[in-house]
Amino acid sequence: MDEAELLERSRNGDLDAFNAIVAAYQDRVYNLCLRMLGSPQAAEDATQEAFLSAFRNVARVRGANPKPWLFRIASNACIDELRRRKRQPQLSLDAPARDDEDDRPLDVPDTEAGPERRALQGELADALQAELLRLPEDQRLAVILCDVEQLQYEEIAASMRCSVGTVKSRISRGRARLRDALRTRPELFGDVVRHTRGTSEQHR
Amino acid sequence: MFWRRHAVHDDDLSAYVDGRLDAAARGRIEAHIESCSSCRQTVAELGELRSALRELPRATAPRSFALREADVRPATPEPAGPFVRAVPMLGGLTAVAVLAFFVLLGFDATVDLDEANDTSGGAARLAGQEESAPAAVNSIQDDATRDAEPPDDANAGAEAEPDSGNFLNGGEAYSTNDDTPQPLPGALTSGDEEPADGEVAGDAATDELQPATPTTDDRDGWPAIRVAEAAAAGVALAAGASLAFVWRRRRT
Repeated sequence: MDEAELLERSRNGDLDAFNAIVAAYQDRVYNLCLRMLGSPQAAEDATQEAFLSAFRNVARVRGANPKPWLFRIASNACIDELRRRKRQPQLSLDAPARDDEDDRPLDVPDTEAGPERRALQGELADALQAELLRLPEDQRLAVILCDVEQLQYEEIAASMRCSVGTVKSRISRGRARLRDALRTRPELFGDVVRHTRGTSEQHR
Repeated sequence: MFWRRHAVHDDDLSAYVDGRLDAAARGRIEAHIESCSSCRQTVAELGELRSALRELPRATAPRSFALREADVRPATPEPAGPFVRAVPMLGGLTAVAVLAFFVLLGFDATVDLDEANDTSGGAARLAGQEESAPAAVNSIQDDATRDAEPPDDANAGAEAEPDSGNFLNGGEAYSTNDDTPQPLPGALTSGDEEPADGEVAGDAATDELQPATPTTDDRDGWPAIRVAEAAAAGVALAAGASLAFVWRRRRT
């Protein structure tokens, strides 16, 4: 059953059809929320809220591709959480990504990498995540959708409800900020990228 | 920070790294970075950053986020909100109001054309009557002139009889030369005047001073049509504005 048919059945109230869509997209939605919010617990809550909201509003979905719509709902859930945090100053947005429960850095293991790469990637991942959380929300979302989720400009524009030109500008500005921040750590950035290039070439 | 002293913008360099530029823009960027080490460095760094972000470990969902019946009761999705339901109704109302406006406008224009035709015919009749009116007035003046110069025989008696009865002297309109009241020569009487061309004798005396006017029957519908036009235009504008507002507010 293709996504268009699942979507149509979901519009008619078929919960099983909708849960099939959930199963297909929950990893990507959770990853987006994790990168946006920097906390696994917050990402879990936002993901759950996103799918609940998606089912409540599935009747309004236009088209047959659920991806931009799901990412838009997930983005809105993340924005709502970030605004809630602003109203509760005890949770600082500038803090490095931390697990709320055991106060460890955000740990997203890459099971395919070797030990050396895992170590380097761990440090770079932490640095990138920390700098992502310092970006303005719109630039952060644009960079994550483009570079982490690898959406096309048009899909990002549909998810963020803005023009392609605005998407292009937000991605550019977000990358410029990240690049300026990582320039202060050339040993980390340069070494990992050279290693990444070598690994990527081996995989091709 | 984002603008450089070059002809190239940072947004274009970023889009170039993403492969989003057309052939012409891509050629321009490539020609530029060949001679500009700063932009060349920027492109290299953007590429490295993009790769690093793509290489970030991808998280998997810690659990299943499948919804349960208890989570979504009632089981059926919520119906479309008032904003979504209002869209087709407002769209239909706008279309009907616009159509009614143009129908009334066309009908109004048709009535105006008929009135113009009728008015031009009446103007022709009026022009004919106006031609006859000066002729009638001239005849009256000629008569007055003739009357001012009574015949010689009347003049002979005028000196001896100052009150000759000539109407120009305030006397009676009829000659007093004889006992039988007779109209003065040349005095205008009914039927004596030859009718002007195209004019019917008999009513010329009254018609010449009363130009034809359009009947009031055609004027009765005008205010009603104009009011209806204004009402249709107002409804169309209000419905269109409401539709634009609701369209922006509806959730998708």
